[in-house]
This record gives sequence, C-alpha cells and structure tokens, in this order.
Amino acid sequence: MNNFIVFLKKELKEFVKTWKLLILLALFIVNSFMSPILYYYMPKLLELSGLPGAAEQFDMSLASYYTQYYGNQFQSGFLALIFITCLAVVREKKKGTAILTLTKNISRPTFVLAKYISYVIWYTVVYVVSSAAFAAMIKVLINESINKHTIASFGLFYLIGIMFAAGAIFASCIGKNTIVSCLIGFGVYIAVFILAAIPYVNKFTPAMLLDNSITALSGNYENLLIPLLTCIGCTVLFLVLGIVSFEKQEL
Amino acid sequence: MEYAIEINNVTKKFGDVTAVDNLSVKLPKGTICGFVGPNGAGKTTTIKMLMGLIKPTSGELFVNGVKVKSGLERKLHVGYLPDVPGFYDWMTAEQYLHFCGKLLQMDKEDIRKRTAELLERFGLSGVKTKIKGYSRGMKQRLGIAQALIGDPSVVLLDEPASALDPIGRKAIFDLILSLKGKVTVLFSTHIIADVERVCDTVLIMDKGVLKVNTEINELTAKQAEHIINMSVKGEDESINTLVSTLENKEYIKSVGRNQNGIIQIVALDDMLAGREIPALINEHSLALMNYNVQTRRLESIFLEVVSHE
Repeated sequence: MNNFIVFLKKELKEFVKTWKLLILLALFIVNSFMSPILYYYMPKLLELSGLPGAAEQFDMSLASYYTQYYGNQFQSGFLALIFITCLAVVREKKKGTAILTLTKNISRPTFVLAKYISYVIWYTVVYVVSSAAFAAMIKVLINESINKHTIASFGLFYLIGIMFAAGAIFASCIGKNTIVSCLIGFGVYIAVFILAAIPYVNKFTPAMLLDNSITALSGNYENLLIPLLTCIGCTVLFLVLGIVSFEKQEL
Repeated sequence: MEYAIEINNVTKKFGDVTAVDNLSVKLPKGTICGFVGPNGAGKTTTIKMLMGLIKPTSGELFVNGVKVKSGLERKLHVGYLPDVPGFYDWMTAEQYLHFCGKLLQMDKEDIRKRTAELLERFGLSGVKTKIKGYSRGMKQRLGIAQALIGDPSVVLLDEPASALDPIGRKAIFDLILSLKGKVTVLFSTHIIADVERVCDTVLIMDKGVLKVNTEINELTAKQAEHIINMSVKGEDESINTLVSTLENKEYIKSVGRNQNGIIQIVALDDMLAGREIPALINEHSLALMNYNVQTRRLESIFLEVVSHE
C-alpha cells in the first residue's frame, strides 16, 4: 500500500480516536440547529420582552437565515477547525512522533499533505452533516426546500473552510510550539476578517465568498470568479509554504 | 572499503555554541559502536545529523554510501531510536509496529512475523493496553522494536538503555550482540559497562570534540593500568625503603601510601608486578598481608578523557 494512503488512514483513525471529531461535529451541529431556531424565534422573544417595533425590523427571508447561519459557522465552526488543524503538525513535532514516522520511508511533503487531506475529509463530513441538518431545520421552520442554488451556496462557503484549514496547516508547519501555531492560525483568520472590511480590497479577497454564498441563494453568481480564484490560490500557497518550511526544518 | 557510516569533518553550531566540532568517524559494516560522553557532548546532535533530521553547519555524512541530506531521512533505511521516542498513544504496540511496517512497504506476512518476534523479544507480547498506558521502560522497548522492524542494515540508538530495568537492558544488549557482524549499530549511552560488554568500537566525545575513536581491545590494551592495593607488616623504615625501591621500577607508574598504611601501586604490567613485588617484600624482611589487583576499566579511561579541565 502506498505510504501516503497508510499515513492518511492513520490520520483518519486518529481523528475519531481523539477528541477532534467530537469537538468539530458538536460545534458545527449546534450551529446548524441553534442558528435557525434562534433566528426564527427572535422576533417573538423581542415581542415578549416588550420592545415596541423591534420584531418588525427583522428580515425573515431565506437569505437572512443563511446569513445568520454562515456568520455563526464562521465565528465558531471555522475557528474550531483552525485551532484543531493548527495542532496537526506541531504536536507531532513536539511529541516526537513526527521523527519516528519520517524515518519510515515517508517524505515530509507526503506527511503534510496526508494530514491536510485527512482534516479536509473530516471537515467535509462534518460540513455535509451540519449543512443537511441546517437545510432540514429550514424546511421545518419556513418550509423552504433545498435546491441547486442552496447547494451552490453551501459549496462556496465550504471553500472558505478549505482555505482556513490550509492556513492552519501552514501555521502548524512553521510554529515551534502549539501556542505559536495557534496564534499564527488565528492571525490568518483575523487577516481575512480585516481584508473583508477594507473597501475596494475586499472584493479581491477570499472573504468575499461569504457574500457570494448569500447572493448565490437567489441564483446571482456575479463577482464570483476573483474571490474563488484567490481562495483556491491562498489554499495552494498556504500548503506550498507549509511544506517548504517543514522540509527545511530541523527536527 | 565501503563504510556503513562515514562522517567527514562535520561541525554543527547552534548560534554561538559549537555542538559538534570537526568530527570525522568511519565505521565499517557490521560494527557495534558505543558512543559515550557526558551530557551535552554532542552525541544526540551527531546521531540526528546522521539521520538527516538536522543539517550540519559544515562537513558531510554518509550512511551506506548515501550522502545524508536534511529532509531525506526516509531514504537511508536506518533504524532509529531517538532519546525520547514519541508514539501515537491511542494505538497498541502491535498496531504501532504494523503501522511502521506498512510505511516501510513490508508485505503483510513479514509485518505479522516481525511484529510477533519483536513483541516477544521485548516483553510486549500479549499487552493489549494502549501506548498511553505504558511505563517509560515499555515505551523504550517499543522504541527499539520500531527501529528494528524493517530489518535495517544500520541502526542508530540514542540512549537505548535509559529508563530500562536490568532485565530490559539485558534484552537490548543481548539483541545488539546478536546483530554483531550483520548490522552496524551505533548507540549512545552513559553506561560504560554496556559498551565494554557489546561493542567492538568506542567513540568518546566531550564538548563536541571526539576524544577517542578506537577499538575497545586496542584501547584497554594500550592504556592498561592495574591498581594494586597491598598491606605489609614489618619495620616502618623497611616499608619506606620498599616504597622507594618500587618507585624506581619501570613497570610501576606510581606508588603511594594512605593513612591506613595501605600501599597503592599503579602498575603497567600486572604479571611482572605479581612476580617481583612479593620477592621485594621478602628482601626487605616484610610480611605480605594483603594483595589486591584491579585492572583499570574503560570507565576510568572515560573519566580521565572527559575530566581534563
């Protein structure tokens, strides 16, 4: 068996055997259920609290539910994904497990790539499950069914996570310890936030995909190409930089 | 001659600190080499450089004729045990060895046989506990087992006997002895007796500098010294004359007398000393009450080499 596959299988198993999958799944699923429920009942809660006119100001469109949901996943789900992925390589370096593995006929790029792919696989599983749960909640609450535009919307938002995972792998490769790696990974996350807030610059950044995933719900795919390309470009760049830096490191 | 390990003028600096200073070593295939030196001598750094895990500042290293390059550790086919081995602690020992075997592209049957053999040899057979529940000694034994799983032709072991009880130590050094002539083993240790027992070559390093690189037999023969402790009975003046006489003998390096009256002699030839000293005692009208000879071992040579300042 190809040693990429051997190592990938080990990584996939490790995800299940340790706490990683549980945390990721819990956060994503909680958002899937809580986000639409809270949004649905928020006007009623505001009415009960006696704030006059507050409930009417709520936009109860499908796009608003998705905006709320993506916002929550961005703020907690992706952050969890980043922190978990930030530990991927650096923990192996610190624990000494990387040394024993790397002296067993596996190259450093294979080591990093197998790790990244395994994290992406589990992220994909978690993302699909949580998206399905969210879509089910939307159906129950506002009777909106899933269609090709909602699938496209999910797909675009998913890509941001793929990029964050690559950024976190990069952070994990260059960090000397887990704290440094997590800080670098958090730095990548914050940088995306900051770039998204800068006028004119933001339309060239991967963060724009968040807006694109909302407009896609109504079948509007304008201004998609550049953020899509920058997102893919950043993903590849993070991976290449991570691998190059790991190759040069003394273990 | 093709060497299993060849280190040519290797220097490694960490900032201003020179961890290894112009090291040159050649080990023929099948050699069992003990690498001794105090903490910070540069042993671990040298072994890591041989594995390609760290890059030398200058010089070249070859393993089995292949030039060692950083990041190419996988190509060396070397069994390696680091000073503190780290494992995926959610696995059992058997699962870990299977994983290592698969990474080394061994076939299923070989992995199964070799795993069973190594687990048996290192007392881990039948242990179903996950590695996270292992003692340090068990982890060390598993570390050695993983170094040997692929039947490597060169094995580098960094402190293989640390954390082991006497039974574990014996198992490891019996195994190393069994590899003699077939596999090249370089292991670092603080335990000189282990080196004397299994090695045919010894490297003594101190502060990054190689002080001794020789075969064990040659070293002990060349630097052989025998400590004789004896007590004699008789006139004090006669004893003093005997001491003076002994000081002038060419086979005696030094003579001293301690507070308890015991005469301590460092002899270069224990056989000659054993024949002549009793005769001299008799000539001085003294009675020999006690005569004890200790041959200087590698340990004292090591201490002399490293305690120069």
